[in-house]
Amino acid sequence: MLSRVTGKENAIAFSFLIPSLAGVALFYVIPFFMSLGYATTDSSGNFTGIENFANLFNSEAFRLASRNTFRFMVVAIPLSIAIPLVIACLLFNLKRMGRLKTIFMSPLVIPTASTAFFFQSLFTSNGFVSSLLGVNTDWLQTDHAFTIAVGLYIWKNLGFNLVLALAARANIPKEYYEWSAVEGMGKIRMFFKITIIYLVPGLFIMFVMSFINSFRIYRELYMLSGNYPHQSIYMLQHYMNNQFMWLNRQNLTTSAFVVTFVIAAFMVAFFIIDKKSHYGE
Amino acid sequence: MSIIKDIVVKIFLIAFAFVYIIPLLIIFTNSFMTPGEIARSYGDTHDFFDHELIGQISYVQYRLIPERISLNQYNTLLFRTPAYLDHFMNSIKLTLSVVAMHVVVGSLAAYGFTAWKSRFNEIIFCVCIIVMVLPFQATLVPNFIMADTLGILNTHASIILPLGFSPFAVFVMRQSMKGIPASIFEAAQIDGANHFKQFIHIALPMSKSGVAALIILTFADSWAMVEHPMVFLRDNALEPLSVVLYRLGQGDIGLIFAASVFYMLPMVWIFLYGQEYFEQGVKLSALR
Repeated sequence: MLSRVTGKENAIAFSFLIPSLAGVALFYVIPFFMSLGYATTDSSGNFTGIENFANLFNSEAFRLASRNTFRFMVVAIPLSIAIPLVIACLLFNLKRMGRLKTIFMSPLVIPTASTAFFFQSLFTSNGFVSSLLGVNTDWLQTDHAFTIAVGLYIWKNLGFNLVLALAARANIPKEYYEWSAVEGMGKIRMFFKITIIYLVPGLFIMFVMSFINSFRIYRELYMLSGNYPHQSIYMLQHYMNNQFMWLNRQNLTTSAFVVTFVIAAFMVAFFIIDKKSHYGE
Repeated sequence: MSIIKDIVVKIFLIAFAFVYIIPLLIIFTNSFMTPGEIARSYGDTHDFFDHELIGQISYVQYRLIPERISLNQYNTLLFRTPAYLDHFMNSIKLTLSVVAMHVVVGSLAAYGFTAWKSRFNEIIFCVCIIVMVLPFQATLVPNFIMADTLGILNTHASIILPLGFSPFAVFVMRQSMKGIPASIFEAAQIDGANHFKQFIHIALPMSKSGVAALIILTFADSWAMVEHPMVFLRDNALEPLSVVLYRLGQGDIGLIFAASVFYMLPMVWIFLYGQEYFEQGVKLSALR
């Protein structure tokens, strides 16, 4: 009797998930598998097996875009986590500096188009940076474009990560530092032995948000230099968007499938590691 | 010694913050310039976005203080071009719909994930996370196919529905409901509260700050939407102001600062109003 009641209760608990799962299934999962048809056929509908995948991996543009996206993530995500952590540790011990946090969040309220306009006015050939150096260089069309993209990403997302970092920092009990001081531990060792170790739980959500936002930087990049930016910032998002513009559904779905597969594998691995580290605590 | 260090750190941080706020200051003060002064400050409007130079270089010059305060931009924006207000209303409609769906669908599902006991629980949640982190371009085709099947292409529903069901809301709400001690739910169960009562009287009130964080994050994201309208809408009249701002930046930059300020106001308001809850919510979700 009791187990039947819990079974019914559990079914009711599950019913809370239904609106969300139905929506995710309807708009994401089911059409994703429907679209797989494109990835395994040619433009006239003949089955081609893995030919589209082979073509994709041989495509110079796709390889460039994948390399750039990967490079961007490897450089930008760690920086966008590390810099707020350092600022949080500096801010934390100071009094009456709480307002600064609000200032660091100001890029979040500026419309994307205005951000792009501002960065354009900084780096275009007659822009502010060129005028400082007395040259006439369109910096977004040089190898510096990558640095500008990373800088833009960090500038935009610093405030949010700073709030997370400050929260994580505030959660470390003061006693830990006092005890360590009694034991004669130096400031620098404290930073590595206490601060860094105890900031780790907060890193999970910082990482997830930074990961999502690293894809969203495409909005600004697109507005800054359109469909064909300098080759150092030609991202997977550009590649896929261009396939969409050319109505090349084969390439688009094939690359979407590859991207989804890589991200899924990565997230599953991340989940397993995160779970293990929590059991270890 | 430590006082000196504190002062050095403070000066460094304040200088850094000052650099941070400059774009916002420029946008705000330049919104009171005349279109003529803007054209002079930012070079010729039409050559500006071309990468070739015509004639002599006229560099961009940032001016924090306008030569004379003019409401010219605002006048054109608000009274002489009714289309902008229509686009603004489109933004409001799209954003509020997505936010409302996120709060309702997200908090229901988050409670479901907290209360539902099953070995599939984590697997399904993991699928949701994967869908959540995918870039828009990867979900573009699925979204497009479904909108086409349902016959809602070129309507606001083709944007609202996929965005509204985005599992991001589930993730944020679940993070914040995780922080509620299990003993509270157990006590309510002993008192005979069913899942619906536990959701309304415990889960929702105790994750209020999570809801605030969700509202602000979703609002900020939807308010800035660009890719979705460009893909799903053919009819320019349906576009939100975020897309129109982009076109302004490419052509008639004389209006862009006032339009930016105008478009920023709801964001600024919601941000200042909800900042405390937001920070609290973010804190809870970070610490789990």
